[in-house]
Amino acid sequence: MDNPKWQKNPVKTVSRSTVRWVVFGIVLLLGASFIFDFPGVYNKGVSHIEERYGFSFPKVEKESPYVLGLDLRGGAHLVYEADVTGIAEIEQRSAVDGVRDVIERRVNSLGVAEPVLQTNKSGERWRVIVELAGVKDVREAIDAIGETPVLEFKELSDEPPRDLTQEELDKLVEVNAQELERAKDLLKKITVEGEEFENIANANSQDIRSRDNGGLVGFVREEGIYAPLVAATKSHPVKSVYPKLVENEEGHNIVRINSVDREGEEYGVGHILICHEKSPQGCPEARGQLDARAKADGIYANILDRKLRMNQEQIKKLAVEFSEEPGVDAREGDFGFVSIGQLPQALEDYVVGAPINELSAPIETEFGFHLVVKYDQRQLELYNLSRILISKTSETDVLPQNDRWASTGLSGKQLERANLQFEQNGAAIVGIQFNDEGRKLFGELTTKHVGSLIAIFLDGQPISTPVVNQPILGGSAVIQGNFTIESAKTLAQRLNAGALPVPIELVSQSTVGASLGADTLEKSVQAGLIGLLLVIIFMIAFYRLPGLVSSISLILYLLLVLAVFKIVPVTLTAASIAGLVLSLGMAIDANILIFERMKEELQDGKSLSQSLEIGFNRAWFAIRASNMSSAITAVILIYLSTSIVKGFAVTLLIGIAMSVFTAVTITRYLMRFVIGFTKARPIWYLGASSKRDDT
Amino acid sequence: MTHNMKFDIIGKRKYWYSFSALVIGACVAAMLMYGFNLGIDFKEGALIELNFEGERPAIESLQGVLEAQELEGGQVVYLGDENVLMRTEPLGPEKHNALLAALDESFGAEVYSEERFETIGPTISEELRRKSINMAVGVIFAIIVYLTWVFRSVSKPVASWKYGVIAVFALIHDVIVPAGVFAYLGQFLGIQIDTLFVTAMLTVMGFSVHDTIVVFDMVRETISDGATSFEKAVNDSVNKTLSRSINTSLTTLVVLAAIYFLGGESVRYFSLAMMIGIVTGTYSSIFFASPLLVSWYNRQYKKS
Repeated sequence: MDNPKWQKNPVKTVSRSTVRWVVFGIVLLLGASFIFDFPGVYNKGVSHIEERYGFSFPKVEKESPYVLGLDLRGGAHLVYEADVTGIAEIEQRSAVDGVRDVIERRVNSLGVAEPVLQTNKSGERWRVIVELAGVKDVREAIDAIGETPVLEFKELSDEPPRDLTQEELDKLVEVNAQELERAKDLLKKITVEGEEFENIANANSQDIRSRDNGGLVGFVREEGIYAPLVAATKSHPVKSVYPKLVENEEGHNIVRINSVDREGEEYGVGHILICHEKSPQGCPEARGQLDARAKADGIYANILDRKLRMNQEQIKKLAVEFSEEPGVDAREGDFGFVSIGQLPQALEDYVVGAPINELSAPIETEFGFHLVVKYDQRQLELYNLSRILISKTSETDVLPQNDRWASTGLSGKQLERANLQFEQNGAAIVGIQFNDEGRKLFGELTTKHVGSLIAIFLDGQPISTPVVNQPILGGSAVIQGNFTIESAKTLAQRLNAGALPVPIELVSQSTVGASLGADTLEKSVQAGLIGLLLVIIFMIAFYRLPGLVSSISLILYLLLVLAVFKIVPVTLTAASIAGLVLSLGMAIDANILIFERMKEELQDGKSLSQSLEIGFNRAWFAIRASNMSSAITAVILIYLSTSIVKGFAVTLLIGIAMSVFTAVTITRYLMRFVIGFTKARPIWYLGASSKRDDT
Repeated sequence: MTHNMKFDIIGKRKYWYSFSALVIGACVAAMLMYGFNLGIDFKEGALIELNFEGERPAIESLQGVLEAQELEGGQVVYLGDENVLMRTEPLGPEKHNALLAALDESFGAEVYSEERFETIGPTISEELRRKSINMAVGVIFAIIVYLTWVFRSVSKPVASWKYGVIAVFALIHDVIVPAGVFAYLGQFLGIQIDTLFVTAMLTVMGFSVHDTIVVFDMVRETISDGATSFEKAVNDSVNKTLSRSINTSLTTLVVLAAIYFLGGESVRYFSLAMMIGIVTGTYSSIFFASPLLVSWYNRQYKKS
């Protein structure tokens, strides 16, 4: 033997007790994997024994199911291609992820169980793959998915879309009276009967944000829904409950200010704006930047010539006279009180250090040239507030929810992008940036609704209803909320999906009815069982006792592979079951190789156990080499192929690995065990004759 | 099987070469003449399987519906006892809905159900074609590298790379035959090839190499045991592995037959392709690869 590579192991002798223990282990493995693979069959057997013989084994309670592919359980496989032309490469992934989320929400709304969604990039093409198992009406699902996501900004409706009927009005009056009565009772309990504010709040407040905190809202400014509360109570001593109810748009409030904090400053600012042709908000006259500057300088000189006493009223008048800002007639160039971060940078730089009531020389921003007056400056006050809210039923509550919101014309079409941002304290927020048209609309909208709500609707559902703190003219805004980083990211993705022009196209569809799937599954399993049976018959017919032994290994092989399918889990399709059945035929090949080698050794006159060990050793090289070539094929198929082929290749690979183990190790120990019972050389069962044929 | 007989396989190699040449010739001719009947995986299109509760409408009337919808490439065949299979150009949601509405109108919505619908657009089919080619190239390349490596330690009397080259010849032989058969089947029975067919071919490659390795391994061992002549060593080896080769392919054929007859429509032609490939693979390892080894050896020694 000049090449020891495949024969270097001398014949090993293994002690009888080792063999017995290993065989015992094999039997346990057989039993355990059977129970794991077919708990239903096992449980039935246990019940049967219980009925007949009166003693019982524990049953399997929790079953891990096989994962079936769509072709076996019925369902739809849809491949969408997202058109990302014109989107910066870096934003494509988030755009496509946004599309996926939109599809997921639409699919979920149809009540499809466990939809599977994936995005992938193939070359330059982005795809979203949707798998809907057991879906009843695929056409409905496709219709729902195919819509473009709708992002809308809505405002509180000024008037109800229809008048309430007399009956409804009477009812409303009655309900409102009851609500007021209840609020008064609660106030009395605290102020007169001395009950704890916190307890009453926990039990009664209808403000979800503060209820569970004993009514503690936290620090707020005197604006929005809190403006009436702060205004009424700020001169009342802190830490004592205000003795009257305070009404705001939500309802009746019992209010207590816990402390007052002064933080930073805010500035009262008014301005005159002279625009030019590049101004994003538009300009009534087509003039260049130089002309605009000349005009602004002219107005500045003109105003200085008039030697006016400057104040808030004065700058408003001048704004109406000169300013070219859209909506100047309504707001009269007045920003109201603004704090750091709310004005364009150049204006802010000026305003912070500017003297009170003095007109600035023209200051340039992207909007044009501003003549600015700071007419007031004050400490920013934060009030730590607790309240108990008793909601007031309003007309809009009587009418359906969505009627409360009116469309504004601002939608995802005018959104440029949304992204995840962080506040200074680390809280996650969502930043949004409008395009030119959106910037204008959003500016008007926020100007109109300071202190009130704007709702962001996605696919007809409100996803965020931020309070407008001040007019936003720069076209960018943030949405605050109790976001985690994840949820803020998701919202940004959704907004981008609604905003980005990402049309999707259904490029491939494969739908299998549930009955056809069940039929295919039944047929595949049947084919597998018949195949197994035929292989066993064949092996026993040709190799007798070793054939029987290898059949046991083959059954163990099948059980172990099925267990791996459950554990991984491997998705079973018709192709992968075919791969498994095919691997039965291949798995037995290793045993055939070994037995043929054994036969040769027996013909050479070696003893049975010697022949066994030599047969295994000599066959090992061929087994390893040949299975390796199949394994390489399988690995390449897994890497390069599409999903159908992948399923086949994965089962083939698992099968190859497992078959080498069972055919070599398991069969070997079983054979050692069996041979131990025979002292002679009953070689009939191998079909070998003892005379060597030497021609 | 029969253990005490010994066949002179290598000596009669002229006959086997002629037989292989004949079969390969016929298969190559079919591929050149007819090409392949490509399924929707590789050639864009749609596939609709309908199940009819009662009697199926005549093929012509179904064909008529497709024509009325002005769909290109319309084909209708009966499938099994109750089903109808229609092929058309790729159908987007609108066209698909329109077709179903037309079927409802012609035959009534209650009498049939749509059991399967597949549509593949041009970008996907092009990608599947490309992937299949990548897959084939990848497998063939890996197998050649692997074979050279496996037989690296054999050098006498035939160099290791020659074992590799012959195994690749056998592999090509084994793929040409089922491919040619499917070219005939596509032409005369309308059977299409799809991704699964390509998979079957690649698995056949793995099998073919598997078989060839077993025989060549035996050749190597027989030589190192000290055989009288190379030709005799090869012939002995082939005979020794004969019953293994036949038994292995029989067990595999048995399970494939079970899949073919019982496994359902989707894997039927996959198993047929595999069966043809495995018979060919077993044949080639015995009657093609091994004789080729001897022929090559003889040529080499005549020269020197």
